[in-house]
Amino acid sequence: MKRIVTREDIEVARDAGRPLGVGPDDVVTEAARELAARWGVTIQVMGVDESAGAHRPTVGEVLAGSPPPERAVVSAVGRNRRGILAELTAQIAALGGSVEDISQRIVSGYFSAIFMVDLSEVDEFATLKHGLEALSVPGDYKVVVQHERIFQAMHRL
Amino acid sequence: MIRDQEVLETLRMVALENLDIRCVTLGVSLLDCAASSVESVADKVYAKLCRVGEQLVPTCQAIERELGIPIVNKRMSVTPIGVLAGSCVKDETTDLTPIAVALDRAARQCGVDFLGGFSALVHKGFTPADRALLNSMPRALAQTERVCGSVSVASRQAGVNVDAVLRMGHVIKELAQNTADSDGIGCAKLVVFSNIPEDNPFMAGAIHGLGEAELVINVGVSGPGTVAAALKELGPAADLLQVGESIKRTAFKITRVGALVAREAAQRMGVTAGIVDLSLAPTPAVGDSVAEILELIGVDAAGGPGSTLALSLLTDAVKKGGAMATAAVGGLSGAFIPVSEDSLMDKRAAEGKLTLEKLEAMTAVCSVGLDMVVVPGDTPATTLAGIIGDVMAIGVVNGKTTAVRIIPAPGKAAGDTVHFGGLLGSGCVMPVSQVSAERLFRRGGRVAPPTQALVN
Repeated sequence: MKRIVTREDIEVARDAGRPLGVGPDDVVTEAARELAARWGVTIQVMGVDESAGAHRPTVGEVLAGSPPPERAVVSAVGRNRRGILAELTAQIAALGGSVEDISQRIVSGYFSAIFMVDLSEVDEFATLKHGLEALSVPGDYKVVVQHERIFQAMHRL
Repeated sequence: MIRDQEVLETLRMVALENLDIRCVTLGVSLLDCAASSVESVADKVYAKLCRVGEQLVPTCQAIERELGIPIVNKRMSVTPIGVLAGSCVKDETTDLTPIAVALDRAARQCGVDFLGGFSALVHKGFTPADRALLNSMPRALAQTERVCGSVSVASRQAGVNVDAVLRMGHVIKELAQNTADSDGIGCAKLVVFSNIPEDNPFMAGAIHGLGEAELVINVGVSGPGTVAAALKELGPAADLLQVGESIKRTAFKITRVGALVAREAAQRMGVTAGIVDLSLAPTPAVGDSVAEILELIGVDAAGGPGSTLALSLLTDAVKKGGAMATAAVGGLSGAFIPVSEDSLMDKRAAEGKLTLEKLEAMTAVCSVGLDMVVVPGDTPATTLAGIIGDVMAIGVVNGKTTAVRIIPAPGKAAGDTVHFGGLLGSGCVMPVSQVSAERLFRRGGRVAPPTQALVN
């Protein structure tokens, strides 16, 4: 019989610490997929292996599981000084972040840099944030770390 | 890919233009806290709120950190206590203050600054529990710090319960008297509504309506400063359609952030994501004023001729931009024009350019028209009732929410100033008409609903 897979099933799978197997005809709700992606629970389509007459994973399609890569936007604006870029990138690397993209310019002595930082190796967002924002020097330059989601929400439909 | 311009715009909106999330409000159903005595209801309410509410503040703080946007207020709303108290009230003399005290303790325990729902729905009539609640209100709201109350006295379907309106005139007077040492600040925690929304996240009028889920996260956005900045950039040559377009674009962005926060908070707490309230809510901070927007649109002083027109443009554009940005719009969703909480509004009132009558007219095109209005302490209860009744009539006939939060400051006369502090700001005492409404209210009864209510 066709089964409806809901958030509850994802919770059970997470608590049990194993991937969730679903039949080819089962319906997985959108909310369940989202939750699975968020918690990193794998939903795998299973099939019936006719020869053995037993349930075995055949199709193997992963509906949800590995959450999308998370990124932070690090922006630094302020007075330019020697080594500022190196300082920032070194700190990002030291905290487990990986710079994916950078845009930097200097306009009449003022420095502005925006980094896209991949968070997959970062343990705690808060640690990265504090570690980088601590580099701000009042009246000199300011570092702000924000999750990419706020920019996507504000500027993308 | 996110562009530099977009990153910088977001940073500017937060750092320079006071863009923030005004409130994340956790709505909690208390219907399972019914019991046969006031004390056991109070105990159950306290236990439940502490259990479900403890994650609210830490969750909001984590979201603030990650998104880099301040969430100014974390709040809770509950099932109207007038409904819940039906289980424990013997008669209208039963004192419900212990429940308010339990709510206050729970709010403190969870770290929320206000908790709404010491409320009654009496737009058509009173139950003994409703009467007990109204009788307890002046004491309960004076004795507690964080509990807010609201009373629904009118609706499009029921008309205006004039007895309830008059009762509220007396409740407000008594509450002001009970908090006389701080200029009647208790009344800042009490709102009288027509067509009360069941999912409003803003205080003091937040309740968790009877049609709501067990636990819901509702979000109120803010951003008068952001809208003002967009209008300044647009300049004085733009025509009013362009002004509206510019406000719409800004409202869209503000609301998207609100919707994101609502989603994140609800998901992390494992509760239902409710609505985003598209209200522009000012604060006493410089540059965070709705009056300033009206003046940027082109009225020389908020309250002058053209103010209602300008406000209607603003409210409409905010709704249109906001409705595009989220699937779940709700709450009050209109501009707020609280006098004491908006420093420029208050200045115009002190100058005599903004009057009670103009605020009442502006109610027709926004949500809470007479909000944080301070009037002389000797204003009679029947006059307060008359003012409330007028605003209720606008709501009932136009099928919209209207509300009154009025403070008769004890011992103060027109022209004096009172200081409430914090988000409540300070307000000048506005003059009130000396014409009596007593004969009208002596009649009592109910004003029947308009024919627009007969839509079925």
